[in-house]
Amino acid sequence: MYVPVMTTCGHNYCYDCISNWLVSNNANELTCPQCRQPLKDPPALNSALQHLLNIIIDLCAPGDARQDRTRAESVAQYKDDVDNNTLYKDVFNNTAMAVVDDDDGVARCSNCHWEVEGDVCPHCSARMRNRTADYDEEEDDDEQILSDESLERSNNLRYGSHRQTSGLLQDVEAESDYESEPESDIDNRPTFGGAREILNHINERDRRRQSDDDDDERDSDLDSFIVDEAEAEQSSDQSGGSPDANPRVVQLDGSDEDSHESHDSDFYEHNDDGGFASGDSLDISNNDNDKDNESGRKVRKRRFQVLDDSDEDE
Amino acid sequence: MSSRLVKEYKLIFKTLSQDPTYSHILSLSPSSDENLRQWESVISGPPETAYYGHNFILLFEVPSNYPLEPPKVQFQANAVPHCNVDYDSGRICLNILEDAHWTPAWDLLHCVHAIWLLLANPEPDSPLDVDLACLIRAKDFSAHNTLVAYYLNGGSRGSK
Repeated sequence: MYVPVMTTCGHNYCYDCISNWLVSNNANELTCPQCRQPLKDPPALNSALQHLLNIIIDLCAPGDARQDRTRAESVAQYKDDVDNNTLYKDVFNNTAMAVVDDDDGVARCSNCHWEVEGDVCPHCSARMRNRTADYDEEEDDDEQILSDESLERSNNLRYGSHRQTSGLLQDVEAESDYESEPESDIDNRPTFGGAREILNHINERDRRRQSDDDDDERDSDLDSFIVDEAEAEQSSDQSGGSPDANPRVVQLDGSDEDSHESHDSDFYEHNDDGGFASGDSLDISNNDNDKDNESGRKVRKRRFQVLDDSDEDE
Repeated sequence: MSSRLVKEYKLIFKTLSQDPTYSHILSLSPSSDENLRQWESVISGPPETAYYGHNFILLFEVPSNYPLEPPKVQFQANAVPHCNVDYDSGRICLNILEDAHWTPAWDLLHCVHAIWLLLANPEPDSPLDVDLACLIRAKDFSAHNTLVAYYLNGGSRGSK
């Protein structure tokens, strides 16, 4: 190993070997061979390790002409690639990231903004560096998405973290009468009206997806948030007594009568019968609860955890 | 490539003779001295399974661009009744042996170990032997184990 490079996940490879690997498995997303993390950025030269290796090589085989020649070749090759901007056999220049659009939850090519399905952009035919749809083999398991981790993350999101909030989130805050922000105005309301559609859409998309790890960061926020909301409705329906714990949660749930009354007329104008999300999903979740008390209880437990966390934040 | 295989051979030889965690791998070496691309391995059945007490032969074919491509591995044909193994051909259904899930960080020893683990942990959701998979899905493990033992002890599977 004469030119060691390090991936963003911290694993070192020989420049030549990792280039060959990235080119050879071109049917798939680019991943680290050791930990399978998607390589969003090209690995960088690890000069400290290179220095160390040079010392070791010189110590082990001093004056080996063949060794010195191959080393010089490797280093020259790397320098050439740097100068010509053809690092890693151009694999990072020819590929794109699939970025999920927060407005409609659609994965788009970072090159041409075309909607991406599968591992290749149908418009510019760029190969996707991160995986968007190859999870048919994975069982779709809602529990997977409802992991405590994602709950915590959505909790952070809702109660004043510094991360960028999506338009959808702001809508819900407005609906819950929880300090409506200027952005959460009429324009955004219809988005919330169609929340269930988006939820369905995202569930469908998740079926083809493995976990939050592979997703774009903002996308996973969106996912976990929406699931969290649906689940919140379930939990408070079931528990009844729990809403006192945090008034804001009650309003979010839409289970409290008052929360409906607190909407201004604007809200109803922009949420016609078909798209009245909180009411619709409330009915459905009731039925679900009748059928499946077990999962409801589980969900409630998690909800409590979220409530505790949010109290700490305050 | 072949230098990698030579290196791997040395490492495997050293590991198998020293590391007790791989004691279930009775042997793993090239089939002949001439050809480094054909390997053969013998593993013993995992304890506390119906496979215990039996030995199984694995046949490796290493592609020319290994380790960028996974080695082709299969059991000896007509020898291994397992829900993820095709009994007639010996083909193994294991995700890390597919192109999409393989990574060059693994070597042949990993493969053998993974297959040994697969013997102990059948995955009925991706079956090659539907009958055995159905029994596992129905949680009828005694029937499954009895059937496996029956085949292993020379019972006939009939012809397809």
